[in-house]
Formats: sequence, C-alpha cells, structure tokens
Amino acid sequence: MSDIAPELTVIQKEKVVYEDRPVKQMLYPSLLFLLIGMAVGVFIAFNSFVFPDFFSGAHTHFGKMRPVHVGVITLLWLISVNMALFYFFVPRLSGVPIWSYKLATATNLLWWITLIIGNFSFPFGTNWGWEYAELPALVGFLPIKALLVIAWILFSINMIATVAKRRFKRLYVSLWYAMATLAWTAITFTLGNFTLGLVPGGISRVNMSFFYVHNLVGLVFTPMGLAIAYYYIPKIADAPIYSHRLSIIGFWSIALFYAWVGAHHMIHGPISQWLQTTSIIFSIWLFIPVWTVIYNFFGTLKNQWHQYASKASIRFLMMGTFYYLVTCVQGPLQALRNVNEITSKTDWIIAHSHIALYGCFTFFAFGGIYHTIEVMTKRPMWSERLSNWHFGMNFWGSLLMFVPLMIGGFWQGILWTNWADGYDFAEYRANMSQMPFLHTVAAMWFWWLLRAIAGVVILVGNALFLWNIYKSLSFKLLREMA
Amino acid sequence: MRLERSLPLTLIGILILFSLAIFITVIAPNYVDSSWTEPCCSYQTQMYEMADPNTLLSAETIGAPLQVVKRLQEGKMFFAYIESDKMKIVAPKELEPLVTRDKKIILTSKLCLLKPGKEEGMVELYAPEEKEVIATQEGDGDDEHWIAEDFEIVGPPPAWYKEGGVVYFKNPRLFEEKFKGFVSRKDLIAMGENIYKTEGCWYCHTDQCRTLVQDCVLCGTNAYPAPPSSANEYIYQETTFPGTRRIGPDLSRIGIKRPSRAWHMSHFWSPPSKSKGSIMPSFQQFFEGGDPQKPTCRFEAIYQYLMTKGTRITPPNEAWWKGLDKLHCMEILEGKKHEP
Repeated sequence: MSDIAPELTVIQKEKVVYEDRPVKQMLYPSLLFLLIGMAVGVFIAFNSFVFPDFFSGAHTHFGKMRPVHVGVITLLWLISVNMALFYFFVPRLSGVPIWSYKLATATNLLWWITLIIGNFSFPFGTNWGWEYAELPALVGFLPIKALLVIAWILFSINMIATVAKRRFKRLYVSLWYAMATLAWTAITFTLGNFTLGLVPGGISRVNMSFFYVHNLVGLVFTPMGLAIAYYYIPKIADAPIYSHRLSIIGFWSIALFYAWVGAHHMIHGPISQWLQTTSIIFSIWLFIPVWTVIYNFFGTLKNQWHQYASKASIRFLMMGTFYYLVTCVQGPLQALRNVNEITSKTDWIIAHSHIALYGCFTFFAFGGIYHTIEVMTKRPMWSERLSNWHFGMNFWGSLLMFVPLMIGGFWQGILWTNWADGYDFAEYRANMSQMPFLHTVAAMWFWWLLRAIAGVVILVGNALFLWNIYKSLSFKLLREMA
Repeated sequence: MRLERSLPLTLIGILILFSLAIFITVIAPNYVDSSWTEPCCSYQTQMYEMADPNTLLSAETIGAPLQVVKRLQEGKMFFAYIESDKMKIVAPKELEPLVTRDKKIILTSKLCLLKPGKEEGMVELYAPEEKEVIATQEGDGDDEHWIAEDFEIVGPPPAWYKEGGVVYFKNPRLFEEKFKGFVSRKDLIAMGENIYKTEGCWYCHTDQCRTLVQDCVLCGTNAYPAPPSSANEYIYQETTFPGTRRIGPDLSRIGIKRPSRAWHMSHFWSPPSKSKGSIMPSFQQFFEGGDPQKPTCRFEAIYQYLMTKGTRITPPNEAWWKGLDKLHCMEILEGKKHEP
C-alpha cells in the first residue's frame, strides 16, 4: 500500500551542505514572539474576563489587546516559525541548499520589521477593522501591508527557485503543499486586504472578508502545517509515509473544497440562503481531506508507537494530529444550521480556533523544531526532562483550556435558546426577563477562570521550552545567525 | 532546472479551482441578490444622503444642552410651514400656497424661513436671499420629520424625489447665534464607525440579528420582536462589523432598544453602573477631564453611530418597534404565519 519515495530512503553519496542561517533568523525571534503572544493572551484572560477591567485604561482593554494577541500569535509566531521550518525542509527535500542566502536574509529582515511595527501599533488606534486583516495600511509613512506582500513575494521566489533547481525528480507532498500555499497565501491576502473597497459597501465586503478569513485557515495555515507534519513525522520516526496516493488525494480535495466555505461564518445571518447552503455542503466535504491526513499520519506510526513514549517531538506531532482530527470534525459539524445555532458566537468558537492554531499547528511546529535544532546543532536537546515537561504542560494546559471553553460555550448557546421557548412572544419575553443576557455572561465566569489558569500552565511550559533551546545552542551558533 | 509538465498543469488547476470558488461565492452574489446593494427603504436613503450631511451638532457651549441645527438648501430638500393653534403664520401673497393651514401637509422645495411676527403667537414667513442657510427646525432635537400619506407637493420637487414618503424640515428659523464647532451628523457617524473599528467594539459585540427566534427576542423591545437583519441595512457602511462573538449583546437594533443619550453617557463611563455584572471595560477617554458629565466629540460620534442601528430599516410609519412592520415578525415567531 505504501510507495516509498526514493528520496527519503536513498543514502546520499555526496554530502550537501545546507545553509541554515535563514532557519535561525526566522526561528529564534518567532520563539520569543510565541512567549510574548501567549503572555498577552494570559493578560487578556485575566484582565478582560476573570477580573474585568482591573487594569483599566484606553490602551489595555480587550478591544485594543485582542488584535495584539492574535497578530503576534498568527503572524509573528505561527507563520514565521512555519517559514523557518520551510527554510529547513524545502532545501532538504529538493536536495539543494536554499537558492539565495542573501535574498533570504533581506526577506526575513523586512518581514520582522514590518510585522513588529504593524502589530504593536494596535493599542495606539490603528486597527484596520476587518478580522485577521487588522494590520494597518500605514503606520506613519510605512505602508505595512504592501511591505508584507513584498516580503512574501521574495520568500516565494526563493522557495520556488530552490525547488526548480532540485536534484530529486519526484516532489514529495510537503513540497506540493509548500508550493501551493505560496500562491494561495498571495491571492488570499490580496483579496482580504486590498480589494475590499472594490465591492459595494455592506454584506458584499463581509462576504469577501469571510472568504479571506476562512482561506487563511484552510489555504494558508493548513497547507503550511500539513507540509511540516508530512515532512517531520516520517523523518523523526524514520518510517516511510503510509501512503503517497492518499496524501495527494488530501491535497486536491483541500484545493477543491476549502475556498467555498467562507459563508459558514454567517449562517443564520443577513446573507443569501443559497450561499449559506453552499458553504455548508462544502464544509461537510472537508471530512475527506481530514480523513486522508489522519489515516496517513497514524498509519505511518504503525509498529512505531514506542517512539511516542521516547520522543517529545513525536508526541507533539501525534497529539497535533489528534487535535487536527478534533478541529476538523468540529468545523463541518459547526456548519450545520442546528449546531451552528448553539455554538456560533460563543466560547465554543474560541476553543475551536485555539484547537486548530495552538493544538494542531503549534504542536506540529514544536515537533518540527525539536528535530530541526538537533540537526542544526548535531546533538540531542540539552535536557530530555525539559522536553517531557514541555509536552506535559502543553498537553494538560491545552485540555484545561479547550474542554472548559467548549462546555461553557455550548452551555451559553443553550441558555440563549431559552428565549425561544414557549408559544408566543409574551412567553419569550418572560423568559428573557427571568434570564437576561447578563446572566448568561455570569455563567461563563468559572470556565473563563479555568481557561486563564490553563494559559499560565501553557505559558510556563513554553518558557521551559525556550530555556531548553537556549541551553541546547552554543553561542558560536548564535553568532552565526547573521 | 527541471520544469515538468505537471507543474504548470497543477498551477493552472489550482488557479481554476480557486477562481471558480471566488466567482461563485464572492462575485456572483452581488448580481444575484439585490438586497446586497439596494436600500431598505427610501427613509434610509433620505436619512443617510440628505438628512445626515445637513444636520449639524455642536457642544461648544459647556454646560448647555447639545445644539442641533440644519443646513437647508433651496430645491434640494422638502420643507413644510405648518400653522398651529399657538402659532399663526402670516405669509406674503406669493408664499401663501406654501403654508399648511389644515390637515393636509403641504411640502415644497422652496426654502423659506419663519421669524417672530408683530404680535404674540404670530410668525412671518419670508424667502431668504441665500440659497443655503443654517436654521433650527421645530421638533424634538435631532429627530426627523417623516410623512408618507396625506400630503401635497407644491412646486417642483427636488431632483432625487420619485414617489412615496419623505423626510421634511418643519418650520425652520434662521440660526442667529455664533456658528462655531458644528460637525455634521454624517461626519459624526463616520467618526463613530472609525472609533468602533479602532477601539475594537466589534470583538465583543455582533451587529446582526440572526434569523433565529432568540435573536429577534434579544434584539427586540419589550413589546415587539426585532426583524432579522437583512443585507440592505449595511450598504451605507464603509466597514461592516457582523461580529463573531457575543461577549456583549447584539447591537443591530440598539438605536431603538437604548435610544437615550444619557444612558449611553453613563454606560460608557462605567458599564457596570448601568448593566449590573457587565464585564465591558470603561471608556472614560470619551469624556473630558475625568468628568462623566462632559462627553467629548468622540462620545457624540460613537453615540450617533450606534443610533443608526435598527432605526433606519423601516420608515417611521411602518416602525417595527411599534408593531407596524410589513414583515409580520411577531406572527412568524409565534408560528402563526409562514414566511413568504
């Protein structure tokens, strides 16, 4: 059933020296931003929800801090670390070093400057107003969004040129995903950030915005994450991928289905019913690629599960796979009208988004980072014990975060349906007088407390991770970053 | 460099699939669904395009109530000069046909003003020289007058008028005080939308009443359910914030649910003082010098922006909050009538 790709098992006769400085240029700052982003998250969890408005003021409230948390985590951590791992595995899967080291350095510098300025400007009132497109067009005289596009184009040129000059004929699925996401990201980002003004005001823009939002998840973060998992799971386990055919089926079904589901963010909302129904049908079809991924990753570890016990990196990759299954089962089900009525607009959605970006894609990145650092330093991590603690705290922290939010969010959605109980409007209103909106907010407090505690556990766990990495590197290697 | 056939084929394949999705889900709906670009009603259009740009507000005089004046333009809007028991209108012969002396309201686009007459309870109607004046109108502050039936138009109507109900300005008088610090309601609403955007209100509040019973109840008043949001409510917005979380309640009909300026002043200063148990942060930056009685222009902006929500979907004579709405929401909610 499994066709073994020759490039993964052939013993290389000539030693290729890979240029890994771009990996470090992207990896090390991204880890710092992981901690910063999570710290902002913990701050919000306490200051906005558990002890609301304790630190009050024009710059610290939820509306100003949320985009900082989201922007730092999605852009300064997740996309950046994914780019770092791309700089690692794309050359290796191609059998050649990165096409241009100088271009990579320039790209990375532009990337960091642009994003740091853009994301930390939010508390000073620069939100662009559309979800996940909050980066301002201009900060002072700097055209932030345009510069970001340029950085991405430069990154794409480097990646494509590296693959074009490859030594291995066959393209492994990680390279399929890597190449495709370069195009998908460019188009998606353009549609969400530059073309909104071209359609009429109102729901036309909302529709385009949700098209953008969902493609960020499905055609940017998903391919990047899957490309990484498809490389590192077989690599670390030293076992061939279960099935190449299945991986390509997954690829094409993602390419076909993902772009049609944007409107599922507006189910029951002021948007055409046919568009909602279309998005629901395509959302259900997304079960197909999910299945290929889960079957493939679990199949790869068949007969290899002892490695789960011995390697923290495998644990992260397989737990990430499990969370991928969870979030991709939640997603299609959430699109169904009756499920959506309960879960939409509640904390269930927050659980869902964090299962995807943190439980799945961040865990994938952690797994990849362990291997990457061990290859770059040519020795194991400084402390196996810290690696185990890193996994343990993230695992239990993630459960403590997801489960309460799912319970609380679902319960709040159910509470809201109380206002629809009864036979006439007078009864509906009576229910509302007995249980006004604020009561449903109060019902969330306990779950928010658990989520905040989880945030602290996760933050500390990742601080241990950074410490382990710091001790694993030698200063000689740090100086070689530039 | 190896460039196999499969590369351009794959690239083209991806682009075709993506373009198909974009075409059907992003572009086509604008042409298929007229509600995405057409207004709710002519009341909405007249409010946004005629009333808002020409309604000017100022808080220059500290401690005095907010001043509201109108910028009136000859030939571009409707006026009515209506006599009452307490106020008799004396008009020169050529302006006499414009005066309303009985039940049928006379509307005209000819700009005239009233000034105090020779006796108590008398006013004089005159046509000013300028084609554009700043005036106060008779009525409740910044509310607009609307009429849909029992009226007659004398003289040529404004170019934009086709048929149906109109917003009109009633009994205008020249504004003779110092004209300083006035901002149009249109500019205030745009400023308010910008504040809503950069303060991140949209992260906690939704702006859509969904097609669900519980939403119609939540967004409605004590007496009537709110109609679900339709696409044409949002066409005048630069940025639309449907919202993805309801940490706080929905705001799509807040202009009807919470119309009081004083309520909003207290609420923004300290949300728990008006909503017990609220976790909303305080927005004291909307007030001057730490005084909750001194709202700044930014407060008025966000207030005016919020007041556009739910107040312009039906004209006042079909007000959903008075149970007069054409959609028969109440009956649908109670299962007595099926949706058309």
